[in-house]
Amino acid sequence: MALTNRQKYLLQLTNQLSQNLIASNNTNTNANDAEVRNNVSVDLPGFDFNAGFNFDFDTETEAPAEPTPTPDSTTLRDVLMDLVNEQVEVTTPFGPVTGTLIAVKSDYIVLIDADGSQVLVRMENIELVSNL
Amino acid sequence: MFQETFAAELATHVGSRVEVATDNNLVDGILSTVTPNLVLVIEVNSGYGYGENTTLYLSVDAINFVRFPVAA
Repeated sequence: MALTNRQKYLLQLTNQLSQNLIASNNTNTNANDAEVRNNVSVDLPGFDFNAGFNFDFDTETEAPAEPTPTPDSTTLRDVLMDLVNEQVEVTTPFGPVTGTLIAVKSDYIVLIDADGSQVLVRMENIELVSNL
Repeated sequence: MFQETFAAELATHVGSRVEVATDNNLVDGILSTVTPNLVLVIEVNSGYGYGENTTLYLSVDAINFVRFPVAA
């Protein structure tokens, strides 16, 4: 929708008015600044100033939210598969088990602990996995 | 080298000395019988005197881990 010269002039004046208000409040606290910005309004009788435009008077530009990085491993099993032949600690409700992870099967893993004992840990009861 | 399921792998160790950990218990004994849902352990270290070998049935689902200690 094209604006008439009068509308363009009023728009320009309004922009100047809002910028002056914000500039004059820059020395105030952020709370006051936000209050001024939130409270700016122009009341022109008989004239719909907004006319479908979105006037964003916020002087700060917000950085777009960065997407959360998704790890390559999506399941606990994937994590464990990546740790085969590594020294790991797995925590179960009973307590932690430490050793070298030598196999990951469908519902359990196999560790060799410090004294050479073989330990079968049920995957279902693993609460935490850490690479030592 | 290893069986695909936990119960199948346990079954290959029948007759071995085991330490079975559940959420709140640690059972030390000889692995006697293994079924897909149940493990039978003859406890040798119950601490209640000589010749008191207690037979314990453990649900496979309740097991956290099983350790096969190396012979001293």
